[in-house]
Amino acid sequence: MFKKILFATTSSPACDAAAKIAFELAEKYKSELILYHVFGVPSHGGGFSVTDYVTGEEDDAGPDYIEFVKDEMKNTYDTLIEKHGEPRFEVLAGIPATEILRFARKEEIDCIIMGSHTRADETGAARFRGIVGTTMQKVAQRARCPVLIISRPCATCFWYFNKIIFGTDFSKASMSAFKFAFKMADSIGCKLYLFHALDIDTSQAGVAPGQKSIEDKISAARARLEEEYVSQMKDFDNYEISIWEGVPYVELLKFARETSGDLIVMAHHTRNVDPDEALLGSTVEQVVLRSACPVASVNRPDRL
Amino acid sequence: MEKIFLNKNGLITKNGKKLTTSVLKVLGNTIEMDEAFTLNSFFMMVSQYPDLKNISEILEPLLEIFSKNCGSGFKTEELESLLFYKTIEIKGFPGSPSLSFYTSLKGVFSKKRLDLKFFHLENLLDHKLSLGKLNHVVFGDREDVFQYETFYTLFELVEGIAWELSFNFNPLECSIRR
Repeated sequence: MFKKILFATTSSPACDAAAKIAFELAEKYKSELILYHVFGVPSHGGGFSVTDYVTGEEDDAGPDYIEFVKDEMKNTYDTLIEKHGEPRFEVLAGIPATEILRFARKEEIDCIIMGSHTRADETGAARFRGIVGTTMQKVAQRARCPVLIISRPCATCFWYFNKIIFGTDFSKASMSAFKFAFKMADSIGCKLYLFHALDIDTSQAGVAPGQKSIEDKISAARARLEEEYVSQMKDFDNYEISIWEGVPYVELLKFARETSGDLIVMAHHTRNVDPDEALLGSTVEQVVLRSACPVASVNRPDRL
Repeated sequence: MEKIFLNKNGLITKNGKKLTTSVLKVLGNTIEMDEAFTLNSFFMMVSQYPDLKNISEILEPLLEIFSKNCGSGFKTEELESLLFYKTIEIKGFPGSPSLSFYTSLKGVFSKKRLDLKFFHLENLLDHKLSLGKLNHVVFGDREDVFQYETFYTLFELVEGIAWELSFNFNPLECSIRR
């Protein structure tokens, strides 16, 4: 399923949940696991400087610093290494999002795994800090491979993985997300939910639609799901189509709760936006922030 | 400042009398809560004053969960009560210096504040809910937090609780998994 998995980590406790899934996923699919950490900023002199996270002061780092950081990473993940085996460690100075994307392209990574935040923020504070502009957002937006975003600890999701939810807005990028969701469901042999939320608020420019209109839209969405996605699944019949009305991210969270979904797969932008221009759409942003299960953001078909 | 009282049964009273105007007119009023006010009481209040539902799109699905479980009398033993409070946080680094202002809903156990996002809403409904002091966090120092007396408006309570509980859409099986 995945030959190479890149776990991009800050090595902070905020990445612990993602680390567990990264190690388990790599063991389950016999993938090469690369733990990748980016720190500091390269200097013009060919060396690099590091910025103290607490004081904000810059300091020059010597050539031994990378080895020091690798040792720290090994210490951080020693329990997981003992259980699942030693991964490859890569440490680099630079701008995190740029270096992660560069490394993923160069190494032909099949899946990037990240935590949603670098810090374990309070949920109250999260509304202001959000995830826009974070490394995770930049990577999810530009990566050529699926990006699995883990925000909560989940002990067994990928070992007893049996329900994948594919949320679609029928955009071009959603087709890439579908291909990934279907490939996973097919290879694991688990159930695939094809889910679409009919956004009533935006469908009629402020005018509340009548019941007949809603029913027509639901029928049209069902036909489209069958035409665009079910038609590609050939003999695979372990799927279910669900169309709910309401605010997409709310409905998706409700649906995931009701079905006890293990993984939500979505494209990460709103409709009809070029993947290069796409920002992390509000639906994905809201889902990533709140979802109890991992969220896979898929934007391109390149590495599927 | 004008004050309203939130009763255990979800009823809002002002000067001892049942609210007769639209609830929208008292959104900015400061609140005082019955000592026996619970999360159940909060949802009973939102049910009785439907305009409150429009404050957040998350309230409707939360009410659905509430309506299926109200009166169950079950509450988690991992918490003693719930606390709603404000925080002002001044940050100097990393990034640009900034000041954030937000509300939080936490569980309380042995005087410690616990994150609620791993709990199921069903298990929180019967816990008592109270209003806490304002916390002032200066430059990330969460060990020495200043605390001040403060007030809360009805809007802050409804919107703040809706936001915090929006992280609680955990599948019921999840606790078994952990």
